[in-house]
Amino acid sequence: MSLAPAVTILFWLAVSTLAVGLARRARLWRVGQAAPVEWAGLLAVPKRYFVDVHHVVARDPYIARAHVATAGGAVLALGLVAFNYGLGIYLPVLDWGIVGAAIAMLGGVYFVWKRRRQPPQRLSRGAWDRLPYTLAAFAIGLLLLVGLPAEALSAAIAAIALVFLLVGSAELALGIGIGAPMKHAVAGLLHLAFHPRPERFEGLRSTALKPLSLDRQEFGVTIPADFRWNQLLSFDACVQCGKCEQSCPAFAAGQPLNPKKLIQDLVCGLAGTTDAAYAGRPYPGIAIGSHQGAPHDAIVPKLIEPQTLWSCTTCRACVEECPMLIEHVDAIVGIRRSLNLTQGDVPGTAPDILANLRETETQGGYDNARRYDWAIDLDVPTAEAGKPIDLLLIAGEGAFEMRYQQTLRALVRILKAAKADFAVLGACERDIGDTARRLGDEATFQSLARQNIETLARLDFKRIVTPDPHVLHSLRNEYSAFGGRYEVVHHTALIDELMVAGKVPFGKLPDARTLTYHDPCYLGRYNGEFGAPRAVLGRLGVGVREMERSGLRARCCGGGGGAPLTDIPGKQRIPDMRMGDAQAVGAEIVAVACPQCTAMLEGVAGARAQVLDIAELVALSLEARP
Amino acid sequence: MSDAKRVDPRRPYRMASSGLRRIVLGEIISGDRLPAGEKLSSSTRSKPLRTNVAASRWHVAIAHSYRGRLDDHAREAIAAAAILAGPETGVIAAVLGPFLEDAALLGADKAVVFPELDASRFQPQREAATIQALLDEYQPVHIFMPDNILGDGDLGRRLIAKNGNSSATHVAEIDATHISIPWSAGSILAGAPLPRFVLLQAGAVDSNLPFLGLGEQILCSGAMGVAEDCRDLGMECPEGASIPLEEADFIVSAGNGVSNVATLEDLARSLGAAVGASRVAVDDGKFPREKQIGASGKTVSATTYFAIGISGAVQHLQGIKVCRHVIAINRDPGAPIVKRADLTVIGDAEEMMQALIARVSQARAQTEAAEVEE
Amino acid sequence: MNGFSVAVLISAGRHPVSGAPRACRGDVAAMAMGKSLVGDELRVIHAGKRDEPSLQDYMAYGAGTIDVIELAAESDVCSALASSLGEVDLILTGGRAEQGLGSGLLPYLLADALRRPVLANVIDAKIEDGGAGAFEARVRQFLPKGQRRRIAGPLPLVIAVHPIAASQLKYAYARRVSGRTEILSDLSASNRAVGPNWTVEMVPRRPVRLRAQDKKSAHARLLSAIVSETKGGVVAFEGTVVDKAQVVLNYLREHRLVEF
Repeated sequence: MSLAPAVTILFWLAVSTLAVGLARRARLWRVGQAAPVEWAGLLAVPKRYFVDVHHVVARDPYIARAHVATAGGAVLALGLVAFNYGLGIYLPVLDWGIVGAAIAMLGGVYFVWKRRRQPPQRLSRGAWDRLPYTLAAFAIGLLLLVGLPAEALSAAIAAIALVFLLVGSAELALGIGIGAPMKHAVAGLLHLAFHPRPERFEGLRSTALKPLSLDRQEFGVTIPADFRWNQLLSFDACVQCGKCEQSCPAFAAGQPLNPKKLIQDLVCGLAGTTDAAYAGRPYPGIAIGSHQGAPHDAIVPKLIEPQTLWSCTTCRACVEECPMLIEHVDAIVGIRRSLNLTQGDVPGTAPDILANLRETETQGGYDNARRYDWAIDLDVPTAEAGKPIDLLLIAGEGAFEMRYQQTLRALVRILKAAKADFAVLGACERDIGDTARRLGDEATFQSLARQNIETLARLDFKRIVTPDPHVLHSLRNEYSAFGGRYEVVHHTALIDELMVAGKVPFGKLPDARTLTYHDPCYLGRYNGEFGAPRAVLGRLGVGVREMERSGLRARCCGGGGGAPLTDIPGKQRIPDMRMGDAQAVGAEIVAVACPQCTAMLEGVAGARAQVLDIAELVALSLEARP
Repeated sequence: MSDAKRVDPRRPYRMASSGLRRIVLGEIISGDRLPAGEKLSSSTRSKPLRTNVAASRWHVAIAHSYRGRLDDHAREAIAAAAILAGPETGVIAAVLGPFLEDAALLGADKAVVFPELDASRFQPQREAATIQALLDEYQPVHIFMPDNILGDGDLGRRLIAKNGNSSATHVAEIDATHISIPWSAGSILAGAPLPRFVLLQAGAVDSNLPFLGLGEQILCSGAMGVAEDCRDLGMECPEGASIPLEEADFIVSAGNGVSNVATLEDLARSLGAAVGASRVAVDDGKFPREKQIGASGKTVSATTYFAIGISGAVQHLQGIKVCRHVIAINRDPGAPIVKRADLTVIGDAEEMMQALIARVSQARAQTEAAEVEE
Repeated sequence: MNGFSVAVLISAGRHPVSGAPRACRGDVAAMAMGKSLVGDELRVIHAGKRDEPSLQDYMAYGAGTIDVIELAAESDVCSALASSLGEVDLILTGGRAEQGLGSGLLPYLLADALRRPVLANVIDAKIEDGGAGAFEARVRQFLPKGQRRRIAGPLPLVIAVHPIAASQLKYAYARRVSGRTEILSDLSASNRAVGPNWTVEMVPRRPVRLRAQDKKSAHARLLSAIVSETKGGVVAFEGTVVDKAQVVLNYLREHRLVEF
């Protein structure tokens, strides 16, 4: 008796189960808001999977290879089963293919199982621990039923093999529908196709923060159903690998944020369940099992506590590390928007800062006319309408801060030494609005952005230069939604360019101390600028001793996203950890390129490395020149 | 002919520290003991009288005393009354609460003292009625008061509401013809002719006077039979340490140089001060976060800021920008706090604190003994 | 119903640095106190222009509907308010306006016009039912150096709230756009124009301190000028710790910073 029909029946049973389950899951996703969908994204899935996902996964070669074997084997086996048994062709030669695929899968599963025996803490346990066994059952069942000649199968073995296959198929087919771990396979592939920020596959950085239409009472995400449907889908793609939690500075500092748990809580909200089944590490200080949600229930505070959302520095380390390409930070800012715009419920000193932004267009409540007081003796021209210039210097909020004024003065000295044609924006500069936007105050951000765009439209300049990556990011990436399109360069990139052109008479840095460079999140991860600062330092004749986490994977200083304002307590402070990183490589100077980083890292108490902006270092070398 | 009350020059008198004879109506002099307040008087050189002409019209300055003394702000109000008075204008200082000082030094020709109306009790309607009677009696041309939150600002406004519209509050600039106030509480001034009621901001007047008043002291009782609509249910007086930093008038603040928190707290207690800390001390875990003073912590406006073992990083100095008196104890004479401080003592924080605690409690005991004796 | 009515008076706030329209901080504190007493039954009243831009800020802080008693510029706010607030048991105001004079006189003038007591610098309040329709406010009054005075005052009453009073009110943009105004009286109401003539200067400057004219010799004036200009910055190196402690004590006493 051949068991082939049984496999066929099982196959179609599984397919129909999967179809029903998928439809149910899709109904959950479709609760979300409409989103523009490119069906062509489906065609792009292989490229996105093999290039973009692989780029992230390959950072952990062990699990990357295990996954290739497991998933590759499973997909191949399923494809062949579908063809050979699903269509009832029953070609024996294809059976060999199935056997090969099943063996590959079994091999992959072995390595998954091996890691799961002593898993890193970042991995979720629970249902995920079951996966090696159910997948192995599937592979073994398939192997026995397809691989062994019918006459070699005793009834008992056949029964066992069928049971194995049934268990394995249940994990694959049923699991996807009921939201068990294997849902990641289908949700993940669909997520690749309908990603909320498809630009990222073209190498564009930035975020997917869509401007809210305030006139139409769009106030951000209050309930899970306020997310766009493809965002909900993206949450379902999470494999709970914990790469995000491992890279999250707030989590490391003991603040009540864990990006993995956050995504899982959102899945609970989507599916209308509690977090009791969650088997990973919690938000530091918040017990598991206390959260529950539903698609149309408010997210805060029953599903996610506000202090979780306000702990985020928006550094996007989680986004960078996520193998499923989930965009955690946009989700967090989306919920913050609702908290801010509908309740005004923002902790710490953030409400005062936001009030200052509304009332003075500066964060500190300063007189806008005094923003360039630091340049009063430097004879710096102020941009005027009808007077064309090459470079428009926008200083940002750091201009009011005594420490950062030194950097700005250094930058002006460099620009002057290079005889650059530049002018400052002067008294008509308003805050660019980054802090407001990250804190969810879209109304203030939009108002500032519109006024700034109006101001800039009156001026005649070729490029904008700014030493503040937050200013750079907003102007370069976020103002375009309001009609402001500019060529914006960071001061490090400009200095690099001037050096290459031979315009800066720089010398060797007279300081021989060990130096490391701290990548600002908004310059590096947000805008992909890793090379220029290092190139400039290299030209000064100093070797950069890289910290363990640098470049794309650099650790945040703790200063982004308004986190110093909301000031959610943790066990330690993020800048202290970052200066610890610098100390670990023996750095005596930490070169920085952002006013926030300067302030945060300089605020670290006790014996620590000196914090100097790259502009200051270059200015030092100008003076050192014979 | 002046209708001012005449004083019999042969009446019993006592010598004020200024070397002037002082006659207090209704007082029976026994011996030549000086009140405690006089011993602390900074000015001992004798100054001329402001005027030798008998008063035919009056300026009245009104203020509450605090433990028998008038604070700088109140002195400024009296000084304004005296500086703006012409030769034939007399200056009356109406003091609510006991008054132990020499009114002559403050520039007052008469000190009308209402010891029962002291600031610790809440009796606004009685105060208003009492002062109203005084104003009705003397019909002063101008009335000067410190615009403070100790009770004078409140009393002044009650009087203004009763007496009509010729008034100005928060007066920042004053001379014989006009006053100016900060318009919209900002840096733009707005001027008007000198009104009858002038409520002065602190600092508008220099209270150092090159002259003396007559300094006649008149003890009066407050108006009787005035019913208060509101009942005083008593005061809540927190211990120094529990005063919120933003409100504290005296802050003892610890930095890296303070190893023993208990000593610092003792010192704060003995000075009646609130406790603050620099970021370093907070990060060390010696103090809770809400004690942190500076750019990333609290901005304080204490009159006296006592920085112990604080080097004075820019961020810290930002938080104490408006403190009027900064005293520092530091081991390093090159620390930035030394530039900011009005007085710096170079030395070990712990030793200095111990010595100060001892000296302060000794001084306090002496003063209290002297007060009891009186 | 609470058995008593509460209204808060809000003024056109301006930021002290930028001059931008905003909710006057003291008035927000007063509104918070009113909300804590009667919730949404609080009447929020503005006397002034109907299109005053700062009103939207109050809406963002949760004012809901604002009753605007429309006044011509320069007209007497106090009499207009007195005539329409006679029935309100508890009138709350901020300490002083942020725009213009900011004298802080209004609560006193209003209390005088309505013949009811006024309590100023109040930081919290609750209302107790004394029975027979008599209510009493129990308040805490702000005094410097952390001191507080507790006072009981019978309704009707005017309370001026100290800006330090805890405000739980939060600024939410959504409320800013959902709030509305209701115009109570029109401009034809006879409003006596009052007010002294203030001359507002154009350029910011420091106020000049009033000093007595000192008829000293030129030499003495020079000396005092030199002495007064070497300001602060005394550094004590010498002496024992006891000497140094005495230096500190002397300084404190000299500047009357301690009372012993």
